[in-house]
Amino acid sequence: MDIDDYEDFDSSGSRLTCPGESLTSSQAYMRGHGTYVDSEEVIASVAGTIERVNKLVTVRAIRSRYNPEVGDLVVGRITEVQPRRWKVDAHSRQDAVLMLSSVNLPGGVQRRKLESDELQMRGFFEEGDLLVAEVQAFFSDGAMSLHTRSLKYGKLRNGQLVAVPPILVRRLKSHFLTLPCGVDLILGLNGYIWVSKHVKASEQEGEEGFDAEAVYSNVNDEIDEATRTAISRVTHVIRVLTSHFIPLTDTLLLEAYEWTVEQETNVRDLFQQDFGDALVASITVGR
Amino acid sequence: MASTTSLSKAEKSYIQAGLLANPPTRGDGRSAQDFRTISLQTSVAPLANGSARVSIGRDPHDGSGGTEVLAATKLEVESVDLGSGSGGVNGGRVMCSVTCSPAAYPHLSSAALDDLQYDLTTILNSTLTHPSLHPKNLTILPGKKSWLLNLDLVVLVDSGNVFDALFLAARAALWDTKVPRTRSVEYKARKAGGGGEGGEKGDMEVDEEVVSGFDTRQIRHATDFELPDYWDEGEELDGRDRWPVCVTLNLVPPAHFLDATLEEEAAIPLRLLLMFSFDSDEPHIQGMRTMGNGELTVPQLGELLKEGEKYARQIWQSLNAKLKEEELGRIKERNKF
Amino acid sequence: MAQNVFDRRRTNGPEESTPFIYEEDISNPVRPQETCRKGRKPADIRPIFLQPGLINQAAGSAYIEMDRTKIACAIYGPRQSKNVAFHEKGRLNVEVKFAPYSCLTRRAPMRDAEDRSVAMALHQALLASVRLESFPKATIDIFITVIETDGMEGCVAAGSIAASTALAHAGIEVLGLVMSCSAAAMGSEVWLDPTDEESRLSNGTLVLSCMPALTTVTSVWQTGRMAPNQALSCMVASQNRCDDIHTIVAQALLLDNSKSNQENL
Repeated sequence: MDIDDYEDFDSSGSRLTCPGESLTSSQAYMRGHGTYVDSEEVIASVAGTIERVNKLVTVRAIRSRYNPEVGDLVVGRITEVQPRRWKVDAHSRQDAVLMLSSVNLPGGVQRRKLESDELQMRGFFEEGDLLVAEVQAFFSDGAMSLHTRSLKYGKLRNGQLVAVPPILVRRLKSHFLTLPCGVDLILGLNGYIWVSKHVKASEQEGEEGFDAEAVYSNVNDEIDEATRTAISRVTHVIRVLTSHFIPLTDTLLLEAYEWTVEQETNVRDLFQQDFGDALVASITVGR
Repeated sequence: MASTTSLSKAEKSYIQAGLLANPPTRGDGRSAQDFRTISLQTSVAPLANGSARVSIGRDPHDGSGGTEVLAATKLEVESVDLGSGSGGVNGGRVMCSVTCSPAAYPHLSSAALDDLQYDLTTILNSTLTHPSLHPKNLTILPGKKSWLLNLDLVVLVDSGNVFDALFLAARAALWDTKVPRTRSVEYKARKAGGGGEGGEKGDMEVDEEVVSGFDTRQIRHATDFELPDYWDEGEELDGRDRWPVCVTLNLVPPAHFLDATLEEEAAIPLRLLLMFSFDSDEPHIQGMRTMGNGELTVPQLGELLKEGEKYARQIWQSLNAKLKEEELGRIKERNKF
Repeated sequence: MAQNVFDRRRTNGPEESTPFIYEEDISNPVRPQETCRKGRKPADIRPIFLQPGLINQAAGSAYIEMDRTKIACAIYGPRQSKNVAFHEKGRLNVEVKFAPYSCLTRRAPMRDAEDRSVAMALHQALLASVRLESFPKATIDIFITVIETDGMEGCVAAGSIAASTALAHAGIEVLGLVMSCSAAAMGSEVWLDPTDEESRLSNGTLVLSCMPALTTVTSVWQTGRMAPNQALSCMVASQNRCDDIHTIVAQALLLDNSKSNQENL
């Protein structure tokens, strides 16, 4: 069961393994995630695909909790309000932490934190709120520290949430997608996807005169029926792709959405199994 | 019942605005009266006298998601004598209980889960054990032994609309229930022989002879019973057509909608549960309950009763069609041998 | 039945207890074929005795007697919710306790499912009337003690009247007083405020809780077999009767208020 036996290992595709299977008995290999060392043998500890980079052997599990990296974009939900910080559920091993000093305060991006801000934290985010943020750093215990210090981050409104397995969200150049039907998508790397009505860039607040009323408000805009239908359609497409375990990328989502529009079916027909199968077949035909 | 799904205010108002719009739109594109796909199977628990499994809204491809409920009936023999301490009642009893699998509610503590079980049990019990639905063939020996019908339901997964699923599963399981046929048996004491009638009576034991069970001509004082045919499943439960179906109307006045998902239930807390039974020419209400924080007027309730009757009738007809189909399938299976 | 459970903390009574059978009940039972109600008209409810302010240490309290239903209600709060996450609106916590001597057969002193089902019904009846947004992070505890009961429907009806009176007595902001009335469908007639025996003989029963001042309904609980229009007529009859009960409760509260005003002067 030695990796050295397979010379063209890297090019022939990945190999699957299960926990307890010995990967290599060589001292020369370093072990990575998903493996452990037991008396000079590197043994897999999860069920997944073996990846080898030079002398490093890792096993990547097919389904696992979201593993955060610095710079990741995540969509989370506030679970607790604590002194000068919020606890955010980001579908990971631990709740993430959002410090009060890491959010934009009304009156300008550079405004200093006042004591009254500490006492009015629920005026910014309260329990149950959804937000999009970026992972800034890690605490020593492995909890993420988030920040929303950009105008494109912050509280989410005008839409609905879809939860998918985190492994299906690929790292892309931009996680803010706009579909032509007037629907915005935010693909959180932790598996939470926010589907909402499109907000034109020109309508977003500028750097000056940062309007807290608007950014931290809970009030939705007027959303017409066409946009709502489009949002439901996109939600369905995501669910179908997820149940067939297809990784989500912007081009794929766009293709799938256009295919359903071409079919001119009602959104509720997407519930049917054969419809979902046909959708997936049409997408994967091009690959 | 507190909702365990957490939603932001923006999400809640998105759902509410969608439902109040004209025409109403829902998060997954369904119309206000659309149900998700319901799948039902009977006789899923071989050791039970009757069983059924219902799932609402399960993903057809990988079988995940959706609300799933399993119901099974088990018949036990009970003593009707008051002195023996058992709760037996002449004519038999029906007892209903709902258990919630902790896997279905991972966010609830065990005390909260117990409370939820109590609440679901109360609603099902008060509706299904009412004397108006009591089956008549639960007596074994009048005044001595009767059947206790235990209806146990388990909520395996909850994705909203758990009451409709519970009542569907209960009705299907009770429809599927077969009560074993019993035959009364009498013990006759053998009379003492001619001699020894004088003083030796005290020493003589009175033999208990079991009369052959095949002699069913004269059972004057039946004291016990037996199953005439061990392998016979038995007869249908009496009045199996009476068990009601439930339709939950989620109310966002002036509109209402059916088959809510968890998010919709969290955003719209007020609902009306209606249990209907269409076994006779006239429809009958077998139960009604309001739940959640909200106010209604009596005229509104009247309107909702009319609408609910229509929806319940559709559910009733589809359920009956499915149950007949399941029964035919089972008879074919049995007749294969 | 909890009778078979041995409670080590108490001196247990006998496991089995059977009620006395009174001669008058044998000679005058209510028969299902009888269309005439004994002792009162179908639309009559039994006389109500209501006294607010029975329990001094509670923030608000009330005691109600409706013939053979006797319930005491005590309200504590609003007080800070301990050990619970932040909640923007107040919480209502209803706890019901049946005294062991309250029913014909002795009840075990332990809490069981029936306590909780009555508590749930009362919670549903009162929830819409209380202005929860006026006390965030706080809870109102409503403790109901049933001293004697004559049927579950009567218990829920009397309990909600007592609780509503106690809420008003405690000075908690409510949108209106909640009144409840139970009804039984006997053949084609509607009998209001049925006794335990009458409800057992009926086809079905219905308990309606409403706020007569606002003419809105907060809770409906119907069991048994009824035609939809019969259920509707039960509701209408109950609602009309609730208007009368409301007058009684308002009088009792005003009387109690004026008495305390006189004492203060």
